[in-house]
Amino acid sequence: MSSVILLVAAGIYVGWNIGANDTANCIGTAVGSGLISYSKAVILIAIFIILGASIQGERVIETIGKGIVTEVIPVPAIIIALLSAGAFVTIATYLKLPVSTSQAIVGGVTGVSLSVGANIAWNEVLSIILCWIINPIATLVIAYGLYHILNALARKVKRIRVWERFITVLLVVTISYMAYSLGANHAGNAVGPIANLGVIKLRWLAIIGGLSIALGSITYGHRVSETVGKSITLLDPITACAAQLSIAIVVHMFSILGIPVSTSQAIVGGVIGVGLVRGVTAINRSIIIKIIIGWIATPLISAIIAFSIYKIVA
Amino acid sequence: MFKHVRRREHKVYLLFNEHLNTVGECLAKFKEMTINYLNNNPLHEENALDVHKLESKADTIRRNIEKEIHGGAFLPFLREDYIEIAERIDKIADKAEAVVDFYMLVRPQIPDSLHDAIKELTDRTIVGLPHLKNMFDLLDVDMTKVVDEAVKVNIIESEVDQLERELIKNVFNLDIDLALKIILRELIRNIADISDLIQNASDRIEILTVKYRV
Repeated sequence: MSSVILLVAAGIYVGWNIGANDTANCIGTAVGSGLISYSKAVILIAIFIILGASIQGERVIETIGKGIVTEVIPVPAIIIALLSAGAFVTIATYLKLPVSTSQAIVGGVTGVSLSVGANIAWNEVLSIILCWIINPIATLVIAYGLYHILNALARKVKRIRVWERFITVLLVVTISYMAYSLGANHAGNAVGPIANLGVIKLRWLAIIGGLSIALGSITYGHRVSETVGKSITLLDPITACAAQLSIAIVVHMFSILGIPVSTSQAIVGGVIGVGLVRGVTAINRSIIIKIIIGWIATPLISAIIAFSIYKIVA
Repeated sequence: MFKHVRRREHKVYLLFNEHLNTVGECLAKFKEMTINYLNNNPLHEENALDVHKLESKADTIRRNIEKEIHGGAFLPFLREDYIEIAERIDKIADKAEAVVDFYMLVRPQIPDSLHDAIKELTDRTIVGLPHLKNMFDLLDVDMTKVVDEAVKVNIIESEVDQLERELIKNVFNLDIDLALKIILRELIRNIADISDLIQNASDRIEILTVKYRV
């Protein structure tokens, strides 16, 4: 019983980190453009994060808990996997770096499983890595198409006040959908490893994951919002909505497939996608390099930390 | 959640209408003052006071507009546009007041041969304002038609420029003191500036519609 409590506490800690780190991805546009205050936006996304996690969070939980490693691993190993990923993200959040919690948790689970000597489903791991690569590319393509659709719709509006109302509704729908997708995909990052033991039902784990992410958003989400929010809000509303909707769609799709993906990297794809519409080469080489480093470094460092700590503890 | 924002925006639009109407009244009084001054009618002093009062009223309305906008009306990336439009409209009333002050303080002795030309210039320089008002009204009717009114404002401004140049040329052809010529030139330029300011405000509204259509 005490180990279950420890596991849940560790999961809540990771979930809290995810909420603190990823809040900016959802509300950057709306808060930055001043449409809605930060406090109201955070309450809105908290509601949709919990909904997303509760309704569609189980698939990713199952992948992380029982998809990467096919056998039950010791409770201390799971706790270490969660805490090492969580600590990594905590430090990144403090340093205002939008890192991928998905990659950190997959790395953590893989590293600790290797340390334990458990069977790892390398096909599953490779599929997940492939999806990480597809993620920003898919958002780029969808953002490009969505921009044209939204712009065509906006141009049909001839009255200024109707146009403003259209944008307002669009922004609210965008942030809500993004929060829903975040909850559906990232609840698994928070509590997925606990599913490995099979002691708590997936539905309850999803709810716990969603609540912990929502808590992180409410209590500490403002920190990364300052940096990520500003980069999104340099875009006009139509462009920003196209970028964010594309992210929400892609992350949602991967949630249905049960694949944990990075919203931070999806954002880069979305922003580049809408940038290409204007004919502007928004591809910044340093950002591409950062993404590639992220694909490699984040799961690797997380795996090494988890592997090493378990070896020391064991 | 957003009802209070819509109410505030509606209030701003009403204030803009009031602002434009007040500036329109100010320009009408300015024209009346000019005619009475040229006709040596003592009513021009009362007209001058009316222009001052209307300019102050326009200022107050502009400040209220800015207060409402800073209070949360409109999407933030558009707020500066609306504030800029209010300021440019306000400058029209400011210029009318400046010309009135010029008449009242400098008391230029305008030769009879220039009276009709000055009246014509005054009349033409203010005629762009109704088109400016139409532009603002069209924002909430059909933004695509704003550019048609903007073209009319530009044509009027060009005509005023032409009148200004001819009038200044005529002044310097007159057999009067150089000092008076310089004073008259300054007066003519200030009158013509009103149409430039109307065009400035019109340009800003046009830019706003381009922003929405991007």
